[in-house]
Amino acid sequence: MPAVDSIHEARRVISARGRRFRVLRTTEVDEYESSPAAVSLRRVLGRRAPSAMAVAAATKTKPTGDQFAGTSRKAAKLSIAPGPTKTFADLKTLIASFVLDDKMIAHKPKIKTTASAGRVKEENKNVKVKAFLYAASREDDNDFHLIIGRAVTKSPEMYMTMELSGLPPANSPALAQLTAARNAFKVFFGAHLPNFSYDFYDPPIPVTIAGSLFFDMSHSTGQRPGPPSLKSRMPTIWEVHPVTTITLG
Amino acid sequence: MAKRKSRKARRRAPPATRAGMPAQDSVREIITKVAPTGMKFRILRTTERDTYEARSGPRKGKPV
Repeated sequence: MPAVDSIHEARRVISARGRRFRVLRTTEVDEYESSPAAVSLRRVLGRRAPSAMAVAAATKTKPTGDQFAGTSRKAAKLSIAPGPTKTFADLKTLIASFVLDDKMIAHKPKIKTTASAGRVKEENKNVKVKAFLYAASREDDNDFHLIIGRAVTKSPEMYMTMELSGLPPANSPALAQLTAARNAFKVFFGAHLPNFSYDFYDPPIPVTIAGSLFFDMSHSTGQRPGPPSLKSRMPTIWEVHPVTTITLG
Repeated sequence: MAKRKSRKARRRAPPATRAGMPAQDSVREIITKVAPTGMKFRILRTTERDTYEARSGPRKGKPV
């Protein structure tokens, strides 16, 4: 079968002999296909079979250090929301509790993406959920992207991003908590931490995870975050960011 | 009768499909890991990246 994310149309067809089948129209094209349409499609989707270049990009020099190295909404990403933590039994319920993405994009005042842009009212919440870690990667700002989902037996499939932030400066009140969460992740994976490309886990790893809500305004337009294989089941750009506690396994 | 695959070939077989798995053609390495908690699992190292990270190397001037 094709990758779920590549299907753009499914039609039921009955052949002349009465046989029923489905036609799944996909965006998949042969790698050697060089027509302008195919090249353009591959570029837009950012999807291709692993080529030498893709493997080289995935295995490029490992990131080092733990300090946060990004700028976008740095103040919000490195702060912990005030107030109590609300616990959710299911990721679906957590996602359903978020203010709609469109409302956040149209937020007044507008959510800025400058380094000094702190949390807005809707982000001043802490949450905790029991779920599963399906995949993880590390960005060049030293954040670990965790793709958290529901149990494989639950339907519908649903995932969202939670991020272990790169560490704040030494004088930050959040430093101790963010360091502890990051260390818990590093101890669990030992020498097998993810790098720039996504590692998937089989079976997905049970996780109890908590942190502050964050709306990823910098990706409110253009390509959304997430591994191409799961992105179509990631219904929001809300994140838990930073993760403040994590228990794996 | 069809010849049975060797144990080595079976070990190399791509992961079975279930919800939340990567595209099979993106998997470049499979590692078996035992966590300090005793949990045994496989790490499927893929070529999948955030689409906004599609070009190799750290981005310049792009918010992260």
